[in-house]
Amino acid sequence: MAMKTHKISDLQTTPREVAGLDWYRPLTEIVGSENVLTAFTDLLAYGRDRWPYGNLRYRFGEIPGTLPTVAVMPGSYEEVSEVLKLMSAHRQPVIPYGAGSGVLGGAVPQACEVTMDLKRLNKVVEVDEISGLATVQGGMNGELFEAYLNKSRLTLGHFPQSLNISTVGGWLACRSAGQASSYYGKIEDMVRGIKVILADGRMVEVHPAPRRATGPSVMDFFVGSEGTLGVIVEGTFRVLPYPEKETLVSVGFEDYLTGLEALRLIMQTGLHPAITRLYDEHESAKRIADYPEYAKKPCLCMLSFMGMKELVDLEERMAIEICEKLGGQVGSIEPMLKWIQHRYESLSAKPVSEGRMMDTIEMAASWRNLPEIYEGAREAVMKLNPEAHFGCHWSHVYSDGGCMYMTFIIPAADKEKAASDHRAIWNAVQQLCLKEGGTISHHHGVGLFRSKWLMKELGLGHDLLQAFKNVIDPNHIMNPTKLGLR
Amino acid sequence: MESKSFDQIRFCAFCPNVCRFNYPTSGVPQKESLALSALAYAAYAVINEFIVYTKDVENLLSDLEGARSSREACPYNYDIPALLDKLREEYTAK
Repeated sequence: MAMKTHKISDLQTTPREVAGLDWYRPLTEIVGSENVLTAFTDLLAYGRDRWPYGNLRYRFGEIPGTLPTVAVMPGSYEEVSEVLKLMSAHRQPVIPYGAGSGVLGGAVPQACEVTMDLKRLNKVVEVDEISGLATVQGGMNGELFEAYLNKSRLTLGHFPQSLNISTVGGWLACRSAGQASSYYGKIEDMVRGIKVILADGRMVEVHPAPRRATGPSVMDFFVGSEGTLGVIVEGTFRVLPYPEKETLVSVGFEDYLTGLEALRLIMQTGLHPAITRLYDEHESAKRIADYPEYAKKPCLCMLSFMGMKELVDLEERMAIEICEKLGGQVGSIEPMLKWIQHRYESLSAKPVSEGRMMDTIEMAASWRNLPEIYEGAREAVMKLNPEAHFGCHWSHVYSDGGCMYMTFIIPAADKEKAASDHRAIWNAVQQLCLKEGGTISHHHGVGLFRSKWLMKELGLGHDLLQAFKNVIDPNHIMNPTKLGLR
Repeated sequence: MESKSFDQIRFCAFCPNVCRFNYPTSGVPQKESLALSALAYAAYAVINEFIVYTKDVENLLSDLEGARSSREACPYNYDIPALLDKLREEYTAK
């Protein structure tokens, strides 16, 4: 996939005549001219999300694609519908935009699209405490939604690292997972109803129900669609009482393989830890440096349990028994408390601002295949760039496998070499993952950057997605090129 | 601009905006360009001469209400709005 770049300086000085576009005036009539942004400085902000490759380009004064033609901020579902009808009629592509926290370029314009910022749709519509359901508009900030629920002693239980910097609609669009997912489930387990506006302006509504057997799940077409099939304007979620108790456990293991075995047994025993994070030696090192009890058990595993006190106590005891039988040693919970203190902060700003490039690759595979993928990925990264840092942790575990979350940092003084190494590392790790039967993404999604590997993973399934898109978006205006779709 | 201030602006420009959750509560229009990290990037781009300091840029760097509301949520305790004020004054005076 060719990745075109443009110099920011050239874009600032290039005259842009948006007022002369056929759709411009009707657009301002739909949402009000104050909600159509055309200033260069506004568009510059919508030219990126948190995609590390994109930020590498921005650091050197380049755009990893184009700027949007305009950004539009609709304030109602009707306005979203009217804007999409207008854009369809003029075959003008549109990118739905939440808070721009995606890391695969899913919101980055490639052909002067119109960016549709949904943050004016930021209201809680209804909370039904009897049924335990909360309905919220797609543009609401994640942290504020959770805080709203907490006032009623409720929680969604969805705590992605991006909690503060993402929207509820964005969670649905990228099939998000939170840090306590082994207990609360992922976003697809939480959503009960959805409203999506299609390219032709019609609204698809799946009304909330605890479960349904009404043919294939229509909702699942849109959860994870990354803006390619429609605009998610509302979701209804099951919410739960705030847990009575939460307990934290830190365990040191001799090596990561023993730690993985403990997690496998914990999950296959039927326990439901909320947080499960096992770090390899490289990621553990800094976290345990001040705690000598981990010296001979250098792979840190952090667990939490939450819910009713009696159940929490029982699950904690049983999990510790499993760990200890494998030689695990319970240690200070200080490393975990430090992690909790910073759990919503990204570690990327420091290396990026210092001239290095940091990226993460998360994927999922069965217990049997995880070690081989880890060893192969580490070897591939270090071979491609011996100066690289490579570390890994495993989180979001299941009875049959888990998510492997790899972090690499490479020097980036030479931007073209950094870009080339970055691409080569991704290619090696994603190919390895596919070869070993894993899936290329557990929760970051696909965006722009992962498209080619997605096609390999889905095969004919990708053709089916395209065929479906062709029917509901015949003019191909919904976030084209993302997920590898037209 | 002194080196430490530049370092903080550059850091903020590439920070994922963890201060953002305070920004929606301020009631200012939630344009991306007014988020703290976007403002810091605009400043970074001016300093590095990726963009020219125009009236458009000056107006952007004057519109700091949302940024000021986010400031207390900065986990690194940087006062980026103060640095942006300083930079704007410096460039406007040129």
